[in-house]
Amino acid sequence: MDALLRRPTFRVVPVALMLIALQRVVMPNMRLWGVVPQIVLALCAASGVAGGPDRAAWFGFVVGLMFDLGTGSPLGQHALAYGLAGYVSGVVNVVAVDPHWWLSMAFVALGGAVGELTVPIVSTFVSDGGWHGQRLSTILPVIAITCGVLSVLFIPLSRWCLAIRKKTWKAINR
Amino acid sequence: MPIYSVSRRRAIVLLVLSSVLLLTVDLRGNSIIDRTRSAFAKLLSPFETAGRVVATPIRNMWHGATDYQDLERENERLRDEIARQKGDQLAARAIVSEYQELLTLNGLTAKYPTVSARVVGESPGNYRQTVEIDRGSNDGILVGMAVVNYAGLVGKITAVYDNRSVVLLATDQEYAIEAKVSAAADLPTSSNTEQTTPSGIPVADLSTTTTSTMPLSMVPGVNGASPTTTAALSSTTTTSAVPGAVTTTTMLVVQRETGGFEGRGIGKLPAMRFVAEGSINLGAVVTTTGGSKSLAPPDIVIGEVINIVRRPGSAGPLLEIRLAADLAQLNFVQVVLYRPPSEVPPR
Repeated sequence: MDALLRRPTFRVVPVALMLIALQRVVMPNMRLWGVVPQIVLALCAASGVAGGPDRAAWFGFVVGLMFDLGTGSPLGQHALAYGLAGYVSGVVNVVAVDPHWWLSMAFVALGGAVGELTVPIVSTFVSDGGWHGQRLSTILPVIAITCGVLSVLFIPLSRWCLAIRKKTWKAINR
Repeated sequence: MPIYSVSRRRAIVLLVLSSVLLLTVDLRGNSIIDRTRSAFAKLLSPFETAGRVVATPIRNMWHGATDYQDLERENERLRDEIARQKGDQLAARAIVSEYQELLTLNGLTAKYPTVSARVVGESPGNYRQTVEIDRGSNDGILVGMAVVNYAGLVGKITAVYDNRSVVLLATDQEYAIEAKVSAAADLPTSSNTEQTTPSGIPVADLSTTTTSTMPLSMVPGVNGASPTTTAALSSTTTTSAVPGAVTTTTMLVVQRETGGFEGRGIGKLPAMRFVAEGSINLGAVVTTTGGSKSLAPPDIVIGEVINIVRRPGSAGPLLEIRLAADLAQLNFVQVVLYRPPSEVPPR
């Protein structure tokens, strides 16, 4: 039973449900310069730093699918965006062996910005909304900053969701 | 594992393809996905309720910290507005009752059933302007129905589930509807002054009156883009028996333009296109046209013209509209259970 509860599926689903509910109920009322902070996206981007690009891509895809189902947006739109967010932050995180906390924040911010940018791009292709031009210049920095700030909380959370232990380094004495 | 390994590339390609496949299936319409959405909404509902309960104090604190000055300014502005509107309200009430009497007299009254709904959520994203309401297909709501509040048009239904629906707001750039704008032209509206004879007897008592009424005429728009309806209501000339005492009432000319109303996204005023040059004044009221294919019934107030952008060529002016309904403060709305005649299946 204990082993079953440690499986990522049993952790990801309730955490994602809670964050999607908060995103729908709370975040539209907490706008920063008119932009709604994206906490679900921040979690997906943070999972890239916590679990690497492959895991984060699938984590983002699953959470994004749940987001699409919960918000009525075209199924697959946020799945792709959040999957890419996790993948990008994971890929850039690979270049650093043991990144500083501020570097991790920057990686999550970058992943978040890429994920947020993917949403209107997909919208343009499926003719469901269209390009938002100038507004993106406000949206992307705000989303990047909020994702970066939230990474302090979300990197450990996504590590727990994916059942990953934090890397520990040991000196080898010969 | 290297950054660009084959398995990693496969994973990302699979991810993209899966998303594209899902998008295609969903956009073509799929009952399984719709049912899954409804089931997921039920699953999410207790989490949202819990989230609301937990987050209300945090949200209030946030608003207290960030919006205090804005609220104070808004409060002052609203007080001024209320004072101004008290006078307008009395005049409007008289006109509305007169209008209703005329409609009844001519058998033109039309009342559409509505369903009241509470706004339970806003769009969680940054690109679409939608709200969610707590009524759905169980209450007879269908995709496309117009949504209003007491001030005017709010938007239209774009997705319906069992007990909830998504409303696309009129300011979203995907929103468009046929609309008409009516305004009295820049002619003298009325000079209905009573004249008297030198003896003080009212002219009306001494006069013979002739009244002529001009019919409505349809005049094509200047650029052919839109028809212009000019309604010259009446022209009355009163000729007195006393030489030199004549009462004249000038014509009240009402011009009506039809065009396309459309939202233009966050931070931009909605606009109306395809109207003829030079016929509309600032402050003119914009309403829905109705018609056999329009999703909204006629005469729902949309807003008023607050800016006219002249454009070169034959494009005609762009009318910027201030919506009558405050879409930032929506709590309760009404869904008009109206289907255009073209959509009602024949019996």
